Amino acid sequence: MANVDKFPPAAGMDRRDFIFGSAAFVLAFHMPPLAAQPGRKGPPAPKSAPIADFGGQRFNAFLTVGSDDIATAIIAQTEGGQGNSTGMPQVIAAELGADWNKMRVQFSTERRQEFINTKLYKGLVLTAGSSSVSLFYEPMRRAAAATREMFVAAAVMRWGVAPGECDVENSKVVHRSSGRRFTFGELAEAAARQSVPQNPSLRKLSDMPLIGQRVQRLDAEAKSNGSARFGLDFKAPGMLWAAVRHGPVRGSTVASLDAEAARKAPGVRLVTKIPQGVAVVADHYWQAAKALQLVRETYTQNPENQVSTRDLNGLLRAGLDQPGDPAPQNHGDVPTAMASAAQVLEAEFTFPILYHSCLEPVSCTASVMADACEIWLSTKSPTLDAGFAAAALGIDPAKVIVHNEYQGGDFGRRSGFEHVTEAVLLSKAAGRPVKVMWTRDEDIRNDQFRTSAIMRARLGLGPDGMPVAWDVRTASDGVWRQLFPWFYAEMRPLDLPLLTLVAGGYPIPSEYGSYRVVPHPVRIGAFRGNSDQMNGYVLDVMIDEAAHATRQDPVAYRLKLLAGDPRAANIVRRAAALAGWGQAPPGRSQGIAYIQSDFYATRIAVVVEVAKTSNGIRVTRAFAACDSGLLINPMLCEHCIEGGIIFGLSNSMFEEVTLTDGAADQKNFNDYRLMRMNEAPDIQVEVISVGETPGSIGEIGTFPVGAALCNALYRANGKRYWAQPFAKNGVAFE
Amino acid sequence: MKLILNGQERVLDEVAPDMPLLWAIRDLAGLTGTKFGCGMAFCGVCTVHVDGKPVRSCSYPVSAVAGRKVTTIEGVSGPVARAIQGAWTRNSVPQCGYCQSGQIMSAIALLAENARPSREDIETAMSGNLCRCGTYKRIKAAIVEASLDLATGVKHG
Repeated sequence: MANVDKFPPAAGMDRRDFIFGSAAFVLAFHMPPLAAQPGRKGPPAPKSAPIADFGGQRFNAFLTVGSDDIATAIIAQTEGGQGNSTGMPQVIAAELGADWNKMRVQFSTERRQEFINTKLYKGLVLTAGSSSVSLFYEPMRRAAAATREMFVAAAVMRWGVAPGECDVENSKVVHRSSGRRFTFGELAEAAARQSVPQNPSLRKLSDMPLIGQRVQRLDAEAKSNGSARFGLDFKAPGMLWAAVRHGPVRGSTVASLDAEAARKAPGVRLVTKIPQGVAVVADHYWQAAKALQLVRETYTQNPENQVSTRDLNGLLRAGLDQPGDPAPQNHGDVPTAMASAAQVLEAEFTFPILYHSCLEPVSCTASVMADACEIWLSTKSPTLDAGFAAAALGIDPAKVIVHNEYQGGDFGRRSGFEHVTEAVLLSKAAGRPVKVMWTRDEDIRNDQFRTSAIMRARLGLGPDGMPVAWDVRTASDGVWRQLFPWFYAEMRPLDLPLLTLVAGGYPIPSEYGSYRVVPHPVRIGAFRGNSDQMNGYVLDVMIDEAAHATRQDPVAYRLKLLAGDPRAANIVRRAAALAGWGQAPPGRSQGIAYIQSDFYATRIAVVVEVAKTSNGIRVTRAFAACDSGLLINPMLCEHCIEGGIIFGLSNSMFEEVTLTDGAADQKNFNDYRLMRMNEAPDIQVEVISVGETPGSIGEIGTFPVGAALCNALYRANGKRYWAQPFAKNGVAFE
Repeated sequence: MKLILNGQERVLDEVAPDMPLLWAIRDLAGLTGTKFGCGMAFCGVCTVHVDGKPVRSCSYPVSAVAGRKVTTIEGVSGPVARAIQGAWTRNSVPQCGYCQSGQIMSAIALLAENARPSREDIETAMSGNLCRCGTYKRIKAAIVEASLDLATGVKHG
């Protein structure tokens, strides 16, 4: 069984990779500590984290091999449940020729060139966009292949044979004709001294039997016995705990603060303003949380951020009447095709603001020294988090060491800056390491939510009932505009809502999409499935509507549409076969949806089945078939798609953040409803491995499932549900 | 006050009686396998056993466990715990894993009471434990597998 360890980041990270000006990210502010305790012990010195700390010879960014025969995959991508900390080592082990049982994985937060996520934004070490395996597949293989060739070079020097006479398998170099062999451990030192091959030969897929194996998750045991350490779990020596409360709406600042009673409470070390609220630092969390109840403060609020849901929906609807920015994939002549269509279907769709609901609330532990600091957290991007810490402290980002812990969920959540800012400022003020921990209420109110959106779609059908024109307009806020303004400045008007608005999943001769930015009063950020969940919903519900309007079977209709894409047709057929399409048990209704995405290199179809019971609708079963290219570990893919289906169902059935005067009304999981086990359908997923390049898995389960459910509800109730969440828009679930 | 934490007597000095058991476990005893999720017993990630029964430690005052046996994920033992944790690991149930300590504590308590739970029994016992990654199917299957292993005496690996 391989272990998961933590690989501490090297000091003196490469500044060249740190491309953004930190001031652009974090609001500048001044935080005078209101109380200070004398006689505190200084924080521990930062660890220099030499390579020797984790043992073995480091061959390159991705690999070490030790004289103990252990090969360690070094992963800068964060594990938030998606399985990348198993799938990525699997790729490396396959190309290297390592024995899986001698393979380990360590996280790194080095901000080095090899770890930059080149698929997203620029210059960031970042885990996002379901890109871990697909993006790093080739770089990891090249690194492992180079390492393998260095082992062969070390072996042939001793044997006096040609490299071509040797094989590498099960962590050994074997001389084929003589049967002589060296273990990786025996060769590790000598191999590390070999020159690094610039163009190593990659193995054929057929020579990598580990690719496609359903190996157990490397973190399964640690996550089943309580030993896995998450961001919230880290404890620094001498650490204090902070409880924080933020103002009611985004951009609130503390106007007045009465901290007297709190300061006298047991264990309290510090009561202070923070950029958007107040904090109490104490010896233990509960002391801090209790004392925070004694703090009385008032806020100056930003009047621009006091919009309520009803007003926001009005703004979104008004935005749809304004001209929007066109999608880059627009093609054909929509007005003409629409004018001559035999039939035009129209609908308006509403999508609410959503909350990520990571079960691990936001936290950060910081230890701040004179001109350096260390932070420990569930990070999505050590580059971003180092920048946030540095900006708050006014220091060089290269002086910030980020320690990556397991994420208790991410789903796009962990790119906020407040927790980092608060932790470093409070540690600096307290002169001790401080852990900032948000309550659920704070985590909800200060989320970077999934944007709400209103979309209007028109689907023109020809005389044969098949689509001739697609016109889709969306009004929403954008992730890049809010979260990465420097990137948006370069890319605008492109932003996530527009990126895949016209995605080409179904071949429609003329398509036009446009996006109207409607700034939200709350912060908007990345969210599992992002706009693909909405765009996919709108398109596939309309396609389903077309099938029914022209009295065609929804599966047959899609197969007719997808006749030119055999991979797509195959996936639709397989999903239908899994579900026993057309033979649903009595009282059950099924709906199908299909999505293709170039960005995720995926084709996925989902069938959702519902039953009408005397207590309401029950989602009984869900089936998915997926072609996302080469599969590294089918089990990981199945689990992730199953999870995506639950996530997407929960989103579309129950979830909604409403705003009153700019503040979220929801406080906890009693009023922000998530799908529970007794509501979850049985799920069957079939993933097929196609070709030689892996696509993405992490988010794709969420894309089609809302539409499949809507389409099933139509069959059950004879009614279309254009607005999500369904539970608040006309559907009574059991 | 005193409690028996994972089989060992612990004395907690000057602990506020209204402190939730969760913080005594995490911050005073230093056992972080038990998680904080919602603070109001809605999510179940903080589930521990008090005298063998599952409780949500975030909403359970530490004063209520004086002299009682508290078991956390770090302290579970015996055939049921082994069967459950084995099934969880072999089947790679966890994704992000944050809720899984609580899931496992609820599952152990279920099988300890009811060796052959029906689907409805499992759903009733487990629906207080949220999983945002959506591992419900895998959790159900692991509980069934552990139940069968216990019934047939199968030991894996």
